[in-house]
Amino acid sequence: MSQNKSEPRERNAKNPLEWTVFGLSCLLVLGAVGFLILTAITRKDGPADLRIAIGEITTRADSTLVTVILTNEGTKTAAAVKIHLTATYPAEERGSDVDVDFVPRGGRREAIAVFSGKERPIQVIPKVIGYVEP
Amino acid sequence: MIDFSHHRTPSESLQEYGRGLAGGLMFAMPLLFTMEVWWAGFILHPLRIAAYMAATFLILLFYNRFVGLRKDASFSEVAIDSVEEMGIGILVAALILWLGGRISADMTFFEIGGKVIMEAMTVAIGVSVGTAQLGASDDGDGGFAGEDGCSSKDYLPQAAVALCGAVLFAANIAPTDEITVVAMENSPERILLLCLFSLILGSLVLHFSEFRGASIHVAKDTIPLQIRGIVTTYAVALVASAASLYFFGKFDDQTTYIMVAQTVVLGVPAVLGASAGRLLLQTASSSS
Repeated sequence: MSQNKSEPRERNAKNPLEWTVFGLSCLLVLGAVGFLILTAITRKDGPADLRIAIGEITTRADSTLVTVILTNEGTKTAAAVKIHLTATYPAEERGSDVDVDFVPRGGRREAIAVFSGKERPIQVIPKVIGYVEP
Repeated sequence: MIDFSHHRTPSESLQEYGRGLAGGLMFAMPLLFTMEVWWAGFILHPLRIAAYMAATFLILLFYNRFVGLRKDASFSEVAIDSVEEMGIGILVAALILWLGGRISADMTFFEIGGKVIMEAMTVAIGVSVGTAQLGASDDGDGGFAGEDGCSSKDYLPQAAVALCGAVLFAANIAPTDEITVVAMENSPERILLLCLFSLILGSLVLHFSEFRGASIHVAKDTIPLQIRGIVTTYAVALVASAASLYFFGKFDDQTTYIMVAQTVVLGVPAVLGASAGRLLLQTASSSS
């Protein structure tokens, strides 16, 4: 782009709004890249490590709802997680199954298992019976 | 000090960002509502997502260089615009995912970041296309397409624009399971027919259908030039397909045959993007 010295052309410049958007975009893009690199560096190779706990138990008209809390403390995502819950009542044991699509690494998911009847169970034991590492 | 190829007032800039926003949403909306892309955000290795970002940045550089900006735009200006488009893409993707309840405060930073970045890349390409193609015809954004007619048929610029078109089409379909299903459930003969169909489709668009812009942007003076155009268009479509499938994790744990078959299957929409999409991407700028 040669310029004639006798007819100096005025430089085109970005306006303050455009520089502001560019500055914010730089922050977002560099932040995203930095976040990904940091995650890659700190990430350890290993399987998903699912921890399961029972949350709130509530009763409805003709059913008891048991909240199941799943956390993944491993380094891979767990998919198609199958959970079996065994509820102990004074007279019997009842079972219920729940499926959870995904539990990302470090992630937490809640699911609800439904048992028939208003009677509150004495004990509920949850168990992960299988999952896939996608 | 960078000498930019144009000067805008803040209100003109706002209008341009508005066009970018509309373009970003228009092109990326199918992906923003595709579950497989949300999942890819937390299933894929962070370095692969970073590579996806780098590949998208390259596409943005190509597009802004050859279509989006004036021909005399410097590399710095092209790079600045590409970063802006990525930034807007990240913001728009985060907003739509949040509005749709796909990201929330109880998720890990990795899950939120992965989802937003995976979605933001297609939004960024849409922002780039929207900014250049949805605007007024007198804004001077013409790239190689709009500045002079003789360079608008150049081989490499046209291949670069074809890549942009192919990625826009392929990236919207690559994350879905249907590509794998079609690849797995069909015989090799049927996959070969899809390959031939893609070549015929590309030929129809580029050389026989008199598409708007084809006379300006498609080199077809001789038979060898026509054949080179068709083969290059299909090759670019296959590259875009393979890259899209890899970045969305569709090649993981697959046999070589399934990977090739998936690429050929996705090559059908991709070749449409590399041929018709490529002409459409340049139509607005060449008509200005």
